[in-house]
Amino acid sequence: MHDLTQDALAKELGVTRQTILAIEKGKYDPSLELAFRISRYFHTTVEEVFLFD
Amino acid sequence: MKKNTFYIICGLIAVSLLLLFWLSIEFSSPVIIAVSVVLAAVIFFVVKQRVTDIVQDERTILIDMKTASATIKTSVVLFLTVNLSMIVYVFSGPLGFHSFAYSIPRDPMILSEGYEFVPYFPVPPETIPISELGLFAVLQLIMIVAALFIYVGFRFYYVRKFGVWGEDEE
Repeated sequence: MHDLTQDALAKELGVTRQTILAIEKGKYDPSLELAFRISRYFHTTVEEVFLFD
Repeated sequence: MKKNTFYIICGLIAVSLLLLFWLSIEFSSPVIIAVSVVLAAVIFFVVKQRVTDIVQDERTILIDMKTASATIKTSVVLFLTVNLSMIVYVFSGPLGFHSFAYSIPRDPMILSEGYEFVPYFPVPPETIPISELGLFAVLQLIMIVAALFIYVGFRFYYVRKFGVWGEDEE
């Protein structure tokens, strides 16, 4: 959708690519700070990006 | 400094420690390995500070913390169990540290016979009246190796738990 690789997003957010992959796969819950940084990067809200189970 | 250089230095430190450990045994000097381990730890942390291309984020820090915590908890139980057993074993016989001195036969040319007490620390192993002293060294080695394996095991476990193992998609 954004034509963005995990590596590019990881570099932009200052984390490792494995962290992005783990978040995508639901293996790792990011901190509030990282969740806000991700949502801010995509110009949306945290609720749009993450769902609370 | 690149992280590969850091890993090479870590390998060299490990090999040097092994050599110094061997030297320590050869010269019966525990000071060599004791000082070397402290120096190696200082060098390791100083060199690690200079690495520029290791990315540490919240997930890797969480894995580090969880692994360290689990390793310490498990190792404490292991060390406590073995050490308490050893203490019971040693206390069941005569102890070798009562005066930090050992006795050597006096010069046979001197008429007054008997033993001369020589202050010494640590007491030479052969003078400590504990049978099967080598058992202690072997058990200590087993515990050190076990702690390393425990660390590696927990590391794998938490990397799997907080990451995706084997998948490498973009």
